[in-house]
Amino acid sequence: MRLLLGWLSLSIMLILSTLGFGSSSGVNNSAVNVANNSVVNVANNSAVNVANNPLEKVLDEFMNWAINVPTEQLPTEGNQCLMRSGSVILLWSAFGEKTVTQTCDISSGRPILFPFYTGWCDNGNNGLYGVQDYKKISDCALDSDKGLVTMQAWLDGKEIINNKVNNKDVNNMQLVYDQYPGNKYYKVIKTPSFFNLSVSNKTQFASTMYEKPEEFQSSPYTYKAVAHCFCGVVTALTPGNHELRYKTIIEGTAGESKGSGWDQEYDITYKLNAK
Amino acid sequence: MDTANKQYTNLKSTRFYGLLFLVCVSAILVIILASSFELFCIPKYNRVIGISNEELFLIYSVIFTIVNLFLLKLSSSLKFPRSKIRKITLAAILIIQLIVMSMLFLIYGQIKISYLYYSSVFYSIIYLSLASSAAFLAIAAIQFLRWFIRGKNYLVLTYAFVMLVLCANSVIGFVYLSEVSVSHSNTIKYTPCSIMMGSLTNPNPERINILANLYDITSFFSFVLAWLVTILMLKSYTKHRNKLLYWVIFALPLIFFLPKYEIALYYFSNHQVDTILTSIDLDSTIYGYQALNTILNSNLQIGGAFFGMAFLLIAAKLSGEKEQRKSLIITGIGIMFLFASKDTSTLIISSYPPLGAVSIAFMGIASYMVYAGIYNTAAHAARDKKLRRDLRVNIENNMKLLRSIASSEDRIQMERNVKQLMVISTQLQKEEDQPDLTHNEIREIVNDVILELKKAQNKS
Repeated sequence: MRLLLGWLSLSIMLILSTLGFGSSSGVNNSAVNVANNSVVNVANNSAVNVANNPLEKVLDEFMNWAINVPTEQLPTEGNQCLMRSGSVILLWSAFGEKTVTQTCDISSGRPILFPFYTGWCDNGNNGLYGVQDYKKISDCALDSDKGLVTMQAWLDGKEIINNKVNNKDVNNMQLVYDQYPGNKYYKVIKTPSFFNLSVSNKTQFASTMYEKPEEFQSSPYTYKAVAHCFCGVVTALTPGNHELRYKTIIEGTAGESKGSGWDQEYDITYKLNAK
Repeated sequence: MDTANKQYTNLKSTRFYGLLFLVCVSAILVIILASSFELFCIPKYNRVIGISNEELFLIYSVIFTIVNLFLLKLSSSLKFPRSKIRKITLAAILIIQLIVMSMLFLIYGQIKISYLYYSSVFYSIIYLSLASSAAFLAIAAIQFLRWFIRGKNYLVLTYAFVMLVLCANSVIGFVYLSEVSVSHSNTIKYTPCSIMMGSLTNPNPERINILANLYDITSFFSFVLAWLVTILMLKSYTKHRNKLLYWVIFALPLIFFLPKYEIALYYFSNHQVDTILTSIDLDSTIYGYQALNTILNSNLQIGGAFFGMAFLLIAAKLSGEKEQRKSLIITGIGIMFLFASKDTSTLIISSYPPLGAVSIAFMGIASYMVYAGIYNTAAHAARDKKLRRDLRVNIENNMKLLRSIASSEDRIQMERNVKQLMVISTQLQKEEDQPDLTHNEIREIVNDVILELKKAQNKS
């Protein structure tokens, strides 16, 4: 009997969770909506500037760089320092790469953007080719960052970010916990309108994501894109050796079970020599 | 002479069971390994044996072909009732599995020649396997429901539900994967694992998320229902044994399976629940973490092996009834492979060579084995029951024969009665459209009926 009851309650829980009753009924849920929390939300982010650039602009730059990194430059292929130097230093996302260590020389005093979990979609992707509807592409981009996301970062061995977000329902993101509420390092960024994504023949995603890769075979082709990022920002590093480590655990990206979709865990360490 | 024959039969059956065990182990291993993303992403030079993913794909395809041929031969050896549907289903599974085998080798050929393969071939394997699985499971569910209507056995009804939920699961899986296929390119070339994962997007997220949730719900229900019904079936085994040990063994598949659904808790939980879950999470730095993680991730395969075991244990208990035993073994293996192969998690990735293709290809034959085994078991049980009843009526109406049975103590007299009754039973059989009985099977049934009647006569 106990067995039956246990099974019954689990089944009901699973069905209700799928229907999303738990989050809407407010059953003593201490999870906080990201918009009401000290975590920087999309609306607040427009006011946040990094090196005189709004965060959305930095994300636009990041995507235009990251998507065109050729396969042979990936850390998994032996590259020891993958980053982009500019007014803001952009570090790599180790999505799909497990554990990565990079050693780089950087200019001190410049802000650094490091991504925990980024997603984008554009109107050149399979199934989205030629789409001009912002919402449709935005839904796809938000969905690329879905799941239960645990993010941790350490700067010179000191933990600076430790939080968990329930982004299973991308339109109702919930903060499960934040060990350092209101910290200045953690940012959630989304481009509020289309941005131009220039795709070149160097991209690693040509054969897997693009409906017409021939469009950018000879010269870069521009698509309309939307991006979303769970990111971290370090405003400036003093000269000397530093270590920035950031780790992401993603669960529940397909259905209600673990280990499906693009569930994964990755951990990247940058040994930075600031000059 | 008799002893020599017996020894030869024992040796033959030992060899058969040994072969069966080998087939089951290799098939389960192939199912697990052919859809293991972890193994797939280990670079060739870091592997214990320096073997590439393409070579592994070929090995899996060859093992799949051998196992399939064995299973098809085993399934076709069942003595079905003479019905059209058995001929049609047998022909259908033969054709489907032959096409699937050819497609696996076609993918390997494309990879070897053009360094790419067409996703349409990969999706054809998926669709064929899922569609045939849904069809066979639906027939099995109908069979269980018909069985339930006749006997009103609630265990049978639960099995009908298991089959229906599994059938729904296959249909949902079919639609889900066809939606996912929209985001895949027509041709799949080699890409590093990180790019493969980074390329996963959903152009229609709302629809895909609903389908993924439905797939998970039906997977959950089918597993828990199958677990429940297996426990009820095996309950009798706990009677004279260590109950605690048996309950621990029974609980294991569920313990492996339920943490997969930990995510559902986040809709209701607060920070405290998260803290508890984090504290019981395995530390990735511990020795043997990878191996342990692989076992934990193989929860469907472990559960499937457990469910199949219930049928195999019951089959082992049936000493004389060879055909019934074979039917139950086939059902057990079918259930084992069905649960093991129904994981679609790696099929959404455009991998080169295709991850999970060999694993999902087992679904059709597994579902057929469940259907064929159950159908045969039901048909034989019904046949034996009817034959016994008819024989009893026939003997009771023949007073002379009845007296003779009641008084006969010597073997010769008994043999004479048996021979006479065997003629009657053969005639009874011919009147019905039922599976043929062997000489020994008729003899067993007749002997049983004689003993029952003798007991009844002695009492009166």
